[in-house]
Amino acid sequence: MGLLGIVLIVAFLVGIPIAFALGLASLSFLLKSDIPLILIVQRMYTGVDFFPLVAVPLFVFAGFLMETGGISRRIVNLALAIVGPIRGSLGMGAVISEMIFSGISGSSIADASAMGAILIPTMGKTGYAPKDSTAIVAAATGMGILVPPCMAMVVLGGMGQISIGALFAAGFLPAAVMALAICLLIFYKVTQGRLPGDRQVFSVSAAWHAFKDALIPLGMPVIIFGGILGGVTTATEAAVLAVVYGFIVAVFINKEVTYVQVGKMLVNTGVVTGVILILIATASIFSWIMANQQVPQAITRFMLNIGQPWLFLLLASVVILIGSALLDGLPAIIILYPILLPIATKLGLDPLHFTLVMVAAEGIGIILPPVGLCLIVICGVSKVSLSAVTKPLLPFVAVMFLSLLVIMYIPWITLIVPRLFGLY
Amino acid sequence: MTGNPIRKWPSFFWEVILACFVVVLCVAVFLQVLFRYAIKASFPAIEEIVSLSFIYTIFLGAAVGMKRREHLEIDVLLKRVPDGFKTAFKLFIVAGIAVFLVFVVKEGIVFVFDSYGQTTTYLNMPISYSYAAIPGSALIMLYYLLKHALTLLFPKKEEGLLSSEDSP
Repeated sequence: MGLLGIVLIVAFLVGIPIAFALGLASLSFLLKSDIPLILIVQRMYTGVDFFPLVAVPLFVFAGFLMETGGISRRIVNLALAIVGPIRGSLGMGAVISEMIFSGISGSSIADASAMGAILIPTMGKTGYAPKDSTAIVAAATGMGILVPPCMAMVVLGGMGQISIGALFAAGFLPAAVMALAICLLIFYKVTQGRLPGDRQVFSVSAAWHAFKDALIPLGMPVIIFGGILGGVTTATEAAVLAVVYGFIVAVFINKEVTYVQVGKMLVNTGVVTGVILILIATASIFSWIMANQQVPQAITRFMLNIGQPWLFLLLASVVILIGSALLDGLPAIIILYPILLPIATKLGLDPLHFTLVMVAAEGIGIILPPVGLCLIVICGVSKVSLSAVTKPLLPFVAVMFLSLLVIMYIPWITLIVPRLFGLY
Repeated sequence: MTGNPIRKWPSFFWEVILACFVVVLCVAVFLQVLFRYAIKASFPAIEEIVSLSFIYTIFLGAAVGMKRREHLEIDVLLKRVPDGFKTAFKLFIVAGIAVFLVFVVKEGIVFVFDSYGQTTTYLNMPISYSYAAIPGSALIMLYYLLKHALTLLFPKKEEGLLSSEDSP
């Protein structure tokens, strides 16, 4: 086990892609053991040959179709029309936009680059300092991971054999809690004069126009959630319906996407799917070794000695949060989740609640300075240095962490919606 | 992309195949939904097509990801390596990936041959077709790794070490 750990750390540090670093470390262990090496390929295959994971490429493709159809601007306009009359509306508009956009794209990196590119220049025109607008968009992106459809939920649902529909439904209220906390902080900063107190006069006709414009893109979440929450479709079926809807809207109705672009999207969908799921493939060799060496059992025994599930939940969240910052989000949960979930279950924690807390922790991790991947993407868009954005971002990270504690210790927030719709 | 894209298609061969698998996957899942809700019937054979196209989407996608160098990595240390050592450092990374992939190819071939004679339930298709995705994609990845290693060892003057002429 020592050799496995050393190889893994060295491989991560030198920059071997995470999926192959996991494979290499597992290989080093297997070469020293008497376990047949064919296990590598067997685990790689069985790790991904799982029907719910089919939703991954479908949601990715649906997201590409909707992003390229020029919907981001329409969504931002709608969000600003909703919160326009409130002081600090643009900052809150960023949070609302992110909630709506995340409900369509399913990818935090896509959210970060698309929303950042539109919102940060607009906020700059109304007096927001670039570092402040970058911090707000980053916080909103971190929160957006809780808004379904979310890639992490699909992947963890598949890995933990938890209903992806239930996970999607479970994300709504925690996302609202985190969004509210961010909006309250923005409002507080506005009242303190630390952010511009921009406000727009509410106009029914402008709001109606914005709504009409965003109506077609909004059909996507309606299809996804209407199908899943209504118990009509599974997550995978909802995903393929979203693809068909997105294709018709983008190519035939909006006519903003050409067939050549569709071809490129298909290739990109395959690559994104391959890059994410090969991680699961190699991580499943790694987690098999962990299970074989009884690592989760050892941690469980340790935690049972402490006897505090709440402490385990906190520790697991902090580990995922830091791991997500260091390992670009999803890879961290893919590696750690199979080890942590059995412990959580043994300690009596609800698997759905635990999984959602892990997703929320990942959301904070990906915007954690100085290494959070989404933060780096947004800083790239806004051309603000990581050191400049750190100070204005920290209060947002703090309120997000407080929201995480609320989500962590009041399971009702997570479980009420899936139970209400009979999904869990 | 400059020039005639049709003439360039051989350099995007795997991308074309990958796109085809994604199309097959989408169409097959959509047909499943359609049959289930419209004519209240399920066709398990379609499920086997979904499974096959999904596995190939993953592993071929990972291979094209290798060509484009899009796999997730922690490059904090790499960015801090002095320019003089960068090539050696990158070659070390290439070697690390290659070692793992060589074992995947070797064990993957055994895995494929071990499944000889087994077929799927409805299409009667050899299961090895599906298993072959793993050693096959690992071979493609090894090819692109070798190409990358050669680019590192013999960089074209105008493109430098970090060029990626493979990216579409």
